[in-house]
Amino acid sequence: MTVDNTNYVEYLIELSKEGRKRSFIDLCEINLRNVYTVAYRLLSDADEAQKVTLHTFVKSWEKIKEYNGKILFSIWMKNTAIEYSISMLNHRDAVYAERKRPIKISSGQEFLESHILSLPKDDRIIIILHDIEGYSYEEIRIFFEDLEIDEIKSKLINTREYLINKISV
Amino acid sequence: MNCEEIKIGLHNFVDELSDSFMKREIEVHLRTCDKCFNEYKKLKNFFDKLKDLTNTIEPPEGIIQAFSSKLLERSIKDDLKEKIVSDPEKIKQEQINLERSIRESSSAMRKSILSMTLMATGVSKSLPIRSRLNWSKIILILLPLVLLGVAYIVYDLQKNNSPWKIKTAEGRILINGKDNNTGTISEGESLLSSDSSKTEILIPRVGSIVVYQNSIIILKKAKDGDNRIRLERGSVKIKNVSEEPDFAIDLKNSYVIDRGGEYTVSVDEFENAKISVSFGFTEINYNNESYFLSEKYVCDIMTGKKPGTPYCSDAPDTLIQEIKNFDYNNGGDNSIDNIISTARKSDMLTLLAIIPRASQIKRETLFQTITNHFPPPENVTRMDILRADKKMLHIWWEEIKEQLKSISDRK
Repeated sequence: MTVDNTNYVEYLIELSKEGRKRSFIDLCEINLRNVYTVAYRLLSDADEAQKVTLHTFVKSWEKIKEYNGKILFSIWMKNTAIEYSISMLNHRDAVYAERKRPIKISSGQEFLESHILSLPKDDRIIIILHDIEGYSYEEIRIFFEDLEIDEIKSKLINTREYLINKISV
Repeated sequence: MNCEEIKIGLHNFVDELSDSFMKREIEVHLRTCDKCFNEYKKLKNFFDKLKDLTNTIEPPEGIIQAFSSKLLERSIKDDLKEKIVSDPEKIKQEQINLERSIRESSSAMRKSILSMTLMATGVSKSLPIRSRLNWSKIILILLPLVLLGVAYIVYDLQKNNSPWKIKTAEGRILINGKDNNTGTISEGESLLSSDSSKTEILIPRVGSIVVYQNSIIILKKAKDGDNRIRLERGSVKIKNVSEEPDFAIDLKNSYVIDRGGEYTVSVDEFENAKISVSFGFTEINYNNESYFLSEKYVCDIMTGKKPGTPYCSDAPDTLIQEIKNFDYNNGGDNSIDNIISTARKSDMLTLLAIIPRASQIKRETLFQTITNHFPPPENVTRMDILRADKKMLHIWWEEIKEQLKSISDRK
């Protein structure tokens, strides 16, 4: 696919690569919602989502010179957020109370959102990445060492069926 | 195709995984099967709703501000990191970039396919990104180490305290051979004092050095916890306020480690050194062996010899002469007898220092003599001392040092 960062974003990226912090902060502002949303949805915890967002910005600043325009900048940043969120999820211990600090969501789809947030970890990661964030099965497979693509697929279909039943009632 | 197969087919279809033949089959089935058409409508409705979930979560305020200040904090570290990145690290980074560029971007927002016509064609494929993630994992593992390293270097750099201030200067001094105008001496510079000069150099967080006339010192290291000068000639007096061993004076074959207190170190034209402690104590290191020198004691180090037996600064001349005989003229048992007979209570540390170099019989006598004044601490036995056990000798040394100190304090 072709990459179409807006001219303004391209301009900010160039300045950031030259070390202009202000420009990079502008880029973060543009992508804040993008990054925070996926982090919150994966972690269902406001504090952890904030931590992931900050971490993502810091890492992106450190690696900004490596960004080569092959993928959209917003996706480049989001990849970092997803990697970190999943590693946090994987390091949560069994007793970790899911949804430690939920936040109020006003998308008009609160019902669907609340069901997504309360899905089991793996099912949630799969549906968020595939159906909301647009990642392919192969890309999702990276995060699941013990799952084959077919298993991910069938998990996703089951999750969809489950959610469709919930919202159709 | 039966209804169950269609159900799976619909999911494949929304995932862009069905070919045109499959699509046609599904289309035909949906036209004739109300149940499956209903399923299709539900699925379409579901994806329409999912579309509304894009970027809908309101981030809390203050994240950008928090990041700004974090960026500011880290900017110094980043600059440093840039400089210390080693070549292998760079090569690795390039490798990662390469892998990343190979990766096709397939993860952009997916359009809701169901809103398109069923006859739409075109299947998007995405390349696996497994390799990229393996690199990411490696980086995730290495990152704390790299950060730790950077943090250590920053921490270490912060300890540099060069230049040192020169507080008072009577007479003339030369810094690196030139008249001193700045009132400071930096790491690597030398200080030469003239006939009638007296200079005080402040060692940050440690104390001060008074440099007397006709002395040459070199400031070898100016760093918190590891301050070091070399005394080439002349004499210096150290006044220490820190109890840490964070200052040392290099001599020809040995060095003096500051242990708190006040002491003078002199080096004459033949490179013989004399260390004299006014209060506190110091440690002399010669060939990785430690010799401790207590308050009111003096130690001579003749060129090329190991540190001589320490003696009390007010010891009678006959005692000092006998110590020289013992140290340098093979005085042997005879000298030891003379030393024992002239030694006063305050000279007991001299006797203790002789024990490792005395014969077994003399060790017994020395042990008895010292015990008469200062019985050894409970855990130090006679056998330990007769064996000249270093650790035990040191424990006794500390005990005597403390007692002597309290005696002189009372005076």
